[in-house]
Amino acid sequence: MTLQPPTKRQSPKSGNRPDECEDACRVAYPLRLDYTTGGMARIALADGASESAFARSWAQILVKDFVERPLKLSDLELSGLEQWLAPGQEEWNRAVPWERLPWHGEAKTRAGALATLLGLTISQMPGHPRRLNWQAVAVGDSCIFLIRQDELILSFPLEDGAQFNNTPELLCSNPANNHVTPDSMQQIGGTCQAGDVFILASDALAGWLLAQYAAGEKPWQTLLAQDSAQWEGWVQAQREARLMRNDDTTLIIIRVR
Amino acid sequence: MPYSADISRTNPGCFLFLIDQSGSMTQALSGQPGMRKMDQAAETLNRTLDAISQRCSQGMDIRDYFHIGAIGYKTDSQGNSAVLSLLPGTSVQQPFLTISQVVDIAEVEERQVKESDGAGGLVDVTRRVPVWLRPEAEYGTPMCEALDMGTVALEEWVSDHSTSYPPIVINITDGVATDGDPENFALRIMELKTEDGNALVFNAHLSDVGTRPVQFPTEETGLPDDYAKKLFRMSSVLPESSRNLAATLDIPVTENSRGFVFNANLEALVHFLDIGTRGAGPVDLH
Repeated sequence: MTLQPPTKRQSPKSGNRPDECEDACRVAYPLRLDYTTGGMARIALADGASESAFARSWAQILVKDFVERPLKLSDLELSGLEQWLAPGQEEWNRAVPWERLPWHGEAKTRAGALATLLGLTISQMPGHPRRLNWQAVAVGDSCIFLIRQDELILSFPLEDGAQFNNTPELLCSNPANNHVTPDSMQQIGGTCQAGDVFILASDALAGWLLAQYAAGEKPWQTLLAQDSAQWEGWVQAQREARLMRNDDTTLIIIRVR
Repeated sequence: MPYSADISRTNPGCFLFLIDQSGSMTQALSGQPGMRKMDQAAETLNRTLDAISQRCSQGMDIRDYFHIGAIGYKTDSQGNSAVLSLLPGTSVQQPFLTISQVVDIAEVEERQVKESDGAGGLVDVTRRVPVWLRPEAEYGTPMCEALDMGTVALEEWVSDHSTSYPPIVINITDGVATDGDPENFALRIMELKTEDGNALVFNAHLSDVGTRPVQFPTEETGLPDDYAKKLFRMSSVLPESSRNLAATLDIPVTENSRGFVFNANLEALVHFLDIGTRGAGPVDLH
């Protein structure tokens, strides 16, 4: 069992430039998914809160840190989470041009940037080289969906479109304002089957998928059938039809074969 | 659902401030020693524009999510009305600037303010504070004319921005119009609409009447005088989407709450609009 090359698509909020997109995603595959060498696929998506300052930079740091140092929640204590976050928080702090901040950015920047984090790891099951385990951790409303045999068998961490709101749990780049604890993070895992598809989506797309699913559709079929040339036009059409919120939108598809 | 249009550069929102600059605004404001109504009017405008600017700030840059207009109303000594656009380079017919243009013209002052030290105490710090309007007040109060001019400017705005969140008019006054009954003029503004709903009129009543402040009341009974009651009737009911956002910010509002405050903080209204994901919990409202 192995993984096909990932599909990544991104579209900024309509009206914003691509370099203003505050969603960030990273995928790192090892040469071999081999547990004896620690080979593990690492996939991360972070959605910077648009109302915080320098959120794009914070989201990019979080996904980079996740693929470099996957966050494991098992036995994680508060101090462990703080330690995991600290290098990224320092990097964000160094990247802020504190001396040049305009008056309108001061208070927000002091408060720190905010972002969701969704991390997925896929690795060989120890002792069973032909089987793969997966594990996901989540803070906030970026979601992972597992599609098996054309059915949605997992929606995590949110399961219902009504659970989306504008104040999800968020990781903060200012340690003093980070209120996420290991207890408030969520983790889930399982065993992969050949043909499984993982879909990772930031909130606007995740909300669209859950709404379509609730209406009896199989919305993943649309996402899986699309090529990159169709993506932007499709996102715009959903926004214009008010089926999808106008927000930064990110999609990652991971196929197991 | 109305009042749910996304607010973005391509679909901006709109605030039009109407500022009473009449002679009665020189009177003392109740409950705040040393503060005149006109001081509070300027302060309310400055703080509200500051709050809007901060909401559109990404740290270094401002995203043009809002168009802003500000119209002052007073008369000269002969009673001739002076209804003027307050933002440089604009007119009452076309009073709007983008929020980034508004940010660019702010005068920035340094002020000593007290802030939490994070350990339960307060500490003095120097902060930069933007100023757009200085206190000013003379003669009569042509509020009806100001509302009428606002209606004309907004008719054009809604026709140019038919898919936008409806415009929000914020009238800051002591409530004593000298050119007629402003109630129907306010109701006319509320009839303007975009595809997302009717224009909203909110009123900040600055009064010398010494009763407790009132924020977002649901009925006029209990309001201290007829001026307050009239301004209450001239104020829109808060849309459901705004009430939901207010609830997440711990601001008490109920189903029939109106966008009316009496000698109370108005900036909270700026946070009743959804422009994107933010941190949970109360916002800093000074």
